[in-house]
Amino acid sequence: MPKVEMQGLKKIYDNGVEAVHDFNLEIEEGEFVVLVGPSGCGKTTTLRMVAGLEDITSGRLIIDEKDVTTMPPKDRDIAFVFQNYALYQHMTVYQNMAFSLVLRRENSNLIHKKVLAAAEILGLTSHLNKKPKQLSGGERQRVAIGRAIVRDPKLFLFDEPLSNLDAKLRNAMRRELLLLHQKLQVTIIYVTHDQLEALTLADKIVCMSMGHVQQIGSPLELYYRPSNLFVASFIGLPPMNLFDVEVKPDRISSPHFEVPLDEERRRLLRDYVGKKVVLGVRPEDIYEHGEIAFRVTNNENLGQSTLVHGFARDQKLVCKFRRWTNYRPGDVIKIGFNMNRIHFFDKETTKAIR
Amino acid sequence: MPRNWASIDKMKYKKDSFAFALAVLGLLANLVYFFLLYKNNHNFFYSYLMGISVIYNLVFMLVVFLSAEEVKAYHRNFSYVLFALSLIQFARIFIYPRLALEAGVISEGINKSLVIWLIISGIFLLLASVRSFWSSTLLKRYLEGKIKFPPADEV
Repeated sequence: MPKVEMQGLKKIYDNGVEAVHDFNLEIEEGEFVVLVGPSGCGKTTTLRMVAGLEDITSGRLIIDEKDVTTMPPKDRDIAFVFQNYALYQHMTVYQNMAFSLVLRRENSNLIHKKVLAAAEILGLTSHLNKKPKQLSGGERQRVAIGRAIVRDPKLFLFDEPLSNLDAKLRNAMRRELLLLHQKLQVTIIYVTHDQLEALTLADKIVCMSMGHVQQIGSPLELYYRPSNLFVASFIGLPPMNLFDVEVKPDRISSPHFEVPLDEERRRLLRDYVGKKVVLGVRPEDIYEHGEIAFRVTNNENLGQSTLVHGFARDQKLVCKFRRWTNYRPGDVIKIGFNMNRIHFFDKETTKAIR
Repeated sequence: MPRNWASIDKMKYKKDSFAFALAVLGLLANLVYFFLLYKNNHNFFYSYLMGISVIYNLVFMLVVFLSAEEVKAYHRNFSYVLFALSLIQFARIFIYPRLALEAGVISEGINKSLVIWLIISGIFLLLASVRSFWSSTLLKRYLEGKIKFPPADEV
């Protein structure tokens, strides 16, 4: 049985705004699930519904085979880690971490052991007597996580926990979260709008837009087999190049270039001959020394690779080459697409053509 | 002697609130004594002794409060201070209420209630002193490695 089941969850606010539509998801024990999507897509609302902080308009929420749809938050045995830490500023780290257990009236010696064990895992032992204001952002977030760990809850919910940290600290904390999950093997639902966090942390990603689930799958599935145009354009940095092409019997053509089709793709597109589809190609799936003329506008050297921006005739493209290039603005080079890695999407339904 | 490792190790992160509370109760008992004294002693008004008495009581309560804050943080020296303050409370029984009674300034009943509140205050301060001495000594010895527990008992 799955650890968490969300069956047709829906959230309609009093003002009529429908924030989440028919959300269905099954989460297995120990799974790390990331809800990802742009701001306002309903991911935090979904998380808050799971926590019990938002009423569920319709649908069922089952945790450990128990229907908790209408259960108050305190009875759900769920730990919530907020973006802004939500630490008690007048308490020490130790007191912050022990607080929920004190409220539960647990034995003080047991509380002590749990707090020390969590502090050891999170590297907070030397900070236990400090107040939150004496800690860095990363340390504060670790305290917030520690406060969740000591409770030993059924489920951990993280609401954009790394958003307030600078880029370097965010990377470090991301690794720590990953190690923590490997060590504790707990079930986590994690909300972020940062696709890098989603791709690196998740066992399963739920990509959302406008309150609808767009795709559920592993990071690899979402990256290499996006189910629709939204997922294709949202996942990946820089995003996938997308442009309209016309399907011909043996090739695809656009006003800017033509690309011949192999047998497999001809079969795939046979129902679309004479129609327009959307071609998607990731920047790293474009190679140099192909057949398409490409005028460089600028380079972004990233060290191990270079992002080259430019135009194939009038079509704007971004290419990612695995070397340091020194193209100048105005240089014209030849590029080609890795045909095994290109994607086609139905122009009307926006769904992937498979 | 604590029964297990956690009960002593947690002292590193928790304040000695019990000793603090006992000392504050001693302070409050003195406050009651203080109010009763001025409420019932009408001959005391307009005397220079009144000023001295008020200042003495305020300083006394300030020292008690500051000592209470210090014993909360396991500062052993302040358990000696609390001990001295408790002795002072007991000693005061034989100074002001007694002398005032003998001089006929206060009645027997008021004298009795003043003595009771001084005794209560002294007892609380004495208990706070003993408690803080015990806990601060225990923590000091633990931090010095003089108290050990089986490794299995530790986190």
